[in-house]
Amino acid sequence: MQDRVKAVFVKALGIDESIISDELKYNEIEQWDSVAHMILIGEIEDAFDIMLDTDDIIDMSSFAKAKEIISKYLEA
Amino acid sequence: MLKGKTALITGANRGIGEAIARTFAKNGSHLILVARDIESLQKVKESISEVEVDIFSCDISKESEVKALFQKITKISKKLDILVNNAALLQSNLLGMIKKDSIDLLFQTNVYGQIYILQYASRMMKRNGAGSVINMSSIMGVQGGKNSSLYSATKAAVIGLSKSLAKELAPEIRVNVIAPGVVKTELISDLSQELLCEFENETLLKRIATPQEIADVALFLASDMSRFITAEVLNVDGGLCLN
Ligand SMILES: NC(=O)c1ccc[n+]([C@@H]2O[C@H](COP(=O)([O-])OP(=O)(O)OC[C@H]3O[C@@H](n4cnc5c(N)ncnc54)[C@H](OP(=O)(O)O)[C@@H]3O)[C@@H](O)[C@H]2O)c1
Repeated sequence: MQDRVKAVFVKALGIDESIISDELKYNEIEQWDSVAHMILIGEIEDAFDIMLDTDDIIDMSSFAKAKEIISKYLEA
Repeated sequence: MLKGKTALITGANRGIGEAIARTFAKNGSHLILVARDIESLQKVKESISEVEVDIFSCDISKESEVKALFQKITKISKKLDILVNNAALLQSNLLGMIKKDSIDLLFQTNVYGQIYILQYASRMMKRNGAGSVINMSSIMGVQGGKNSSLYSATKAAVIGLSKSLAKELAPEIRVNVIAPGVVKTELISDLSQELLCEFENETLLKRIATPQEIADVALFLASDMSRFITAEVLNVDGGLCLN
């Protein structure tokens, strides 16, 4: 799953895969601002065929957190 | 005009919402209809034969219900082209007689409800790369209304919300507002005959509107006929706003 989430980040944020780690945080790089965040959410929903809650959208503050939240939906 | 489109309409079991549903059906749109009372929604569904109709009971003032609604919607449709945020409540009270419960109820239904629906619907539209949102306000949201400060405040909020979202969601999604004058529906059933006559006299066209007259404008805003219109508030009030 890690690779699929990475691929979504690369596509949505337009960043190089090499800079993606668990520590990658929202608003710490210029490519991951609030506008890009909503694009990222759309791409995640598309790629994993899920509908995220508003709370989870706000909580998705890092790459690690994104994986955790997506897993929760896939297990549900 | 709407062939191949999917439209979500709230408050679609009676009044203006029902008229919009029937008009969109005649124009070929798949319908997703929402209100709290499922029995009356079922009746509307049974009376529409032209298109596929899905109905859902949902109290839009409750975030958890809206979330559950969209989980169901995404199972039946991957796309949403049109949203008509129509459901609302009206209460008329003098300022000194407005209870906090009424403020909560009207804002939760008329404003929070629209926001909850928009949060999910706009994401479906963005994924699709296009969409038309129609938020129902009122002429009272534009110019205020006697004894209706609370309702007017919620309807003014709808206009601020819509204009801001038109900016935020462009260029893929158009967001427009309909501001009806007085329309013959259950919503105004408590108004006295005297007050209705007053409204008719103050309206340049000398009558109140039918729900169909609002639905025709919704059809225009939903369709590509209005493809260069966004962030607009359309007063459909027969000239009431000039008085
Ligand atoms: N009629 C007028 O003169 C007039 C004038 C200006 C603007 N408007 C606006 O036009 C829109 C439609 O009004 P209308 O005249 O058709 O009113 P209506 O006949 O009273 O219908 C209101 C609709 O909203 C639904 N609704 C109310 N609360 C809801 C909730 N919490 N969750 C889900 N659905 C809810 C109702 O269904 P349930 O009760 O089954 O939930 C019903 O379908 C409203 O936004 C209203 O403010 C009307």
